[in-house]
Amino acid sequence: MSTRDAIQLFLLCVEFFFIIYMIGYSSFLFLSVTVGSSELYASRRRNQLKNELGNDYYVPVSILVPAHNEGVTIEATVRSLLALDYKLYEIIVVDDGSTDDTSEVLREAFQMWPIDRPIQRRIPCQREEEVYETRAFKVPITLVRKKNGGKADALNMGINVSNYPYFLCIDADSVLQYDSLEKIVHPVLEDPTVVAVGGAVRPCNGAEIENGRVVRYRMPKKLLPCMQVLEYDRSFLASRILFDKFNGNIIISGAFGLFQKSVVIAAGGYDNTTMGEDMELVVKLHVFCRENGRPYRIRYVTDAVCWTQVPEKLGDLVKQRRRWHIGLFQSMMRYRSILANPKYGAVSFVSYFYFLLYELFSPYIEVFGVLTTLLAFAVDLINVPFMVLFFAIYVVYSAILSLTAFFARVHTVDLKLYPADVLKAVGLCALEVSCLRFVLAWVRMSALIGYRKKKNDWGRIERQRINIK
Amino acid sequence: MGAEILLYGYGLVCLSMLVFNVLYALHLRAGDRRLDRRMADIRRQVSTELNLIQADSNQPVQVSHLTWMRRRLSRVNYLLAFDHLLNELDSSDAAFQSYMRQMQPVFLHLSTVYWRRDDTQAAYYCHFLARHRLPQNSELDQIQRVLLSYLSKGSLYCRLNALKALCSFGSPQALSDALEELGRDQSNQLHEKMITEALLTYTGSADELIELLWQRLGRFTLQIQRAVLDYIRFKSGNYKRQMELILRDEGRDRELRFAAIRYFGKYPDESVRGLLLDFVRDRNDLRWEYAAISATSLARYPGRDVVDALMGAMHSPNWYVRYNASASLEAHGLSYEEMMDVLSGNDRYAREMLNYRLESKRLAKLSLSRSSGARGEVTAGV
Repeated sequence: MSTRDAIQLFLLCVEFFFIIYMIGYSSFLFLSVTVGSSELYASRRRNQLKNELGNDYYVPVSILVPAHNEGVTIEATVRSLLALDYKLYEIIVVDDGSTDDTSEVLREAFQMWPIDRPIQRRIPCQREEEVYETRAFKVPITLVRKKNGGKADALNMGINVSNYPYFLCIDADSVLQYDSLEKIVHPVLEDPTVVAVGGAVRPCNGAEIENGRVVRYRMPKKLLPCMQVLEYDRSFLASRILFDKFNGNIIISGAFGLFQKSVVIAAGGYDNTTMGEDMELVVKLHVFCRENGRPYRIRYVTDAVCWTQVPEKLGDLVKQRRRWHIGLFQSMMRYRSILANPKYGAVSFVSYFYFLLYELFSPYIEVFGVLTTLLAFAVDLINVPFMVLFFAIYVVYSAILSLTAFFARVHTVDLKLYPADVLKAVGLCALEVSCLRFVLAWVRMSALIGYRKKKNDWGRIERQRINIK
Repeated sequence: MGAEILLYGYGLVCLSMLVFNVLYALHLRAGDRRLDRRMADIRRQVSTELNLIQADSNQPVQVSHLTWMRRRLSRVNYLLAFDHLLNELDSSDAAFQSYMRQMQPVFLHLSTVYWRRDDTQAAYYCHFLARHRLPQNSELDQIQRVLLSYLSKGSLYCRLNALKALCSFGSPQALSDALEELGRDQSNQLHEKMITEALLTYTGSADELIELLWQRLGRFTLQIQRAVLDYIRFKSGNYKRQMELILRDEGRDRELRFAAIRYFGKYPDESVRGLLLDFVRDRNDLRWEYAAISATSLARYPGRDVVDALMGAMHSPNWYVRYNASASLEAHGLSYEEMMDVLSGNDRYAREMLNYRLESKRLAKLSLSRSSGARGEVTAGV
């Protein structure tokens, strides 16, 4: 066999692999967008016809806010939590060894006083240095200052300090919509086997929020956050709804998730050796419940909304995505026993497989594809017009899917479409698919280089003041 | 080539979804106008009937109107418009009440119509009935009987709204039957909090309802029994003897006994004081929940024996027992000196917990005094 023949055979195999790979990916996207859109439509109809629990029903919830150098946003975050329309909750901020004025800002803004509070250490975490409390607001606010131990360690401290049977974790740069707590506990009341619930996370860069209510929601002015809006819509208004259909969500965003405390404690709490503590916990809950034969559900609700800042600078976005990818890698590797394990059903054969192939390995596969294309070009074994056509199909198809997910927001109760935003979305969806995606693929591919050195680094991202009135 | 065809196919379906979403967005924009038009339609008809009744209180509603309403309200969008219209009308007006009474044959018909509809519409119909409570009339019993069959539907909202509708009618018999019906499908139970909250909206005599529920308590599932006991705790202090029987019965489900302990926390009774003290003094870790809940309930039992038992509970190995005992001691208003034996003792955990409660109390007072003058937003005290 000549070298050219060998290359030809190699390219044939690659072609076959990529056809299967793309069929799998496009099928997944297709299913998630269609299932997501129809579920959002049904959900809007249910809302219109009052098929929902009112705010008479609640379970006590402790809101945990891990904070590390969040002096710029922490006050706005806590104020938004005080505006929540919910009957019984407490706010716990864990300052994880900040070197800025995070604690001072809180103490002054909320008139907090030092207190000797005994803490039941049910999950190991770094010791507390100081505890502050205030009772001057509608719910108790507690601030725990501790030695830096990473976000997972801060969350474990929050769990230890919390008084209530359910806890909600949010990021310190996020804002909860006024009814989000009420909405996120509904699955718990509807089904007692629910151990965790994820809510929808939306970029707040173009939003104006007043008393926890969004009064104006437009696409952000800058291009990068705009493209992330499309990305978030595709993820939160589509794929997570599909996973929810078969109890297959293996990630609940660290920015907004509700958990049953007793199960989390029994499973060992957050793992502070991983960077993706949010995903690690959810996968661990799947494993814990299945291994112990405990009936469970992990739910996702679209109408419980958390507004978060997405990075506006490419450098910040790169840091964030690198951290996410390392977290993904750690969780997937730690729980690799799930792969092709019939005990885990769809969690193994759909969710785990999807995240492995289309999230974890995708940057390598994409770069491999580009290199193979260059090789084929070099040995003159490529049909250039066909390649261009195929790429064009890919871009148009992905753009249609992004736009379908974007337009699905008409089914959500509080968001309206503005013509200028529609034009922006139409203009940017192709750019996002054909450019940003490849940039991020490169970032994710190089993420694992030297990650061990930075495993406890919160990944500093420049914060903007959140537009809250 | 197959892959491309698949992609074209998928793209086409997504394009259809995209078009659907865009059309739906336009449809929503016109939604308010359509609702207004339907409301105006119904308002015209209903106003004519109300005017006739106002002119002559014996005037029956015209059969043609009832037929028209039956046809229209069978469509859920018209029911939605009627729901909005009823919110605008004065429900205390005699003509309105007479009208609603005479509309009951229509509601009976609708009850059978919506029972056959999908669960979302069925649940909405029950929600409608629960919001606009129907006055007593001969058809009401039949409506309630039909509503009982809604309780076996799969949708949680349908079952919950049907239960709320039955609560709004104020018939203890129908409600008791409903709770029995709810318990039949063990795999599809309503959360006990939902049942308790629904019972709290009951519009008839609470005493009459409790009497009947108590008689039939054994017929309900454990979950519903717990909800009923919680409801009784919210509504009546007249069931101490019955609760005592549950509390003393070691064969009873422990959740029911916990509910009874909580009842005696709200309605103190000397006859169970000894039992509550025994629970608090019990150091068996398997029974820590009895000790923890009793420690809370004893907050309202004055006396040295209670204080001593709570002081003793401060040395419990269980964190929750210590926490609740310290809160109850705080409620007993003990002075710092009285707590000295704990505060100066060797038990660090007990000392820390009590110290924390004392500081919390100071903090609450401080917040209260600051807030009373300074800022309107403060609602202090938790």
